[in-house]
Amino acid sequence: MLTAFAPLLRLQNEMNRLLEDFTEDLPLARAFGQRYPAVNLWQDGEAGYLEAELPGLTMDDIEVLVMGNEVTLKGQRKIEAPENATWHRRERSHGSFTRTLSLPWEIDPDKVEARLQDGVLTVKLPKCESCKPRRIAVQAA
Amino acid sequence: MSDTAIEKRENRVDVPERIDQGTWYTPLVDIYETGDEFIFQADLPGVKPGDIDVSFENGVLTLDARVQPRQPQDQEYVWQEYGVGHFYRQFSLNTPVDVNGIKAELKHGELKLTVPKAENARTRKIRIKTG
Repeated sequence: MLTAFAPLLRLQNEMNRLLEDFTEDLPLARAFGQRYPAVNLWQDGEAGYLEAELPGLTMDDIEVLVMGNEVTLKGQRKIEAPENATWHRRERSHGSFTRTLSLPWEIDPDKVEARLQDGVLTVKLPKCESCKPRRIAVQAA
Repeated sequence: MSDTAIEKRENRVDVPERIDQGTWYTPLVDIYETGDEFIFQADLPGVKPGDIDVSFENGVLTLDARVQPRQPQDQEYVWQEYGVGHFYRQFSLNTPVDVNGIKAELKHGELKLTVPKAENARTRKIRIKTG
């Protein structure tokens, strides 16, 4: 029964994403969008590497949570704003954000490393032993 | 006429064309003004303190920041939502400023520029006499 609905659920997901993209482009939508922060991901045989640009934040402002194959980035950005000033530009967003990503492998939670340098967060997400690529010897019959 | 001829097009005379390689992004900024100074705050994630040039010439403030590559060269992204490149942005200021008093501070990928106004451009509160 579930599989019959799968294409519909996918469509719903896609529609949600389209709507998010649309609202994020609106100049008045100043608060963090659903998909903040933007992330890049690359991998090698050992681990995946998740990177996000989080300028102005320190490690005290960020939480990285790992469970199963999911990683969650949580945080808060405060921007000082004097009251008796004239604003000419206000482009940077502030507030709280949460974003969860699912990876196609189980993460080994004991070996996760997170580093924040010059406003760039890098999280190393090691693959669990059974998820690493392995060369299989092919036996001749 | 040859197919390879480059179409003649209008040129924006106010923007110099870049010759060096790389991608440049426009950093997000907050700018506010108090009676004595302008404060510029720019998000420059990935920029190290030695890799940024701030200049002020003929009333134009220029931010030019270089970003060192962070990923291994041959590594391809599995998932990519943003591009990594240098940052560049210019602002023109009509208010006279005290160029020697400009201060810049870069911390956690966030730049704070303090641009003091020239003495004669500062706002002064004028006491109004009554009676």
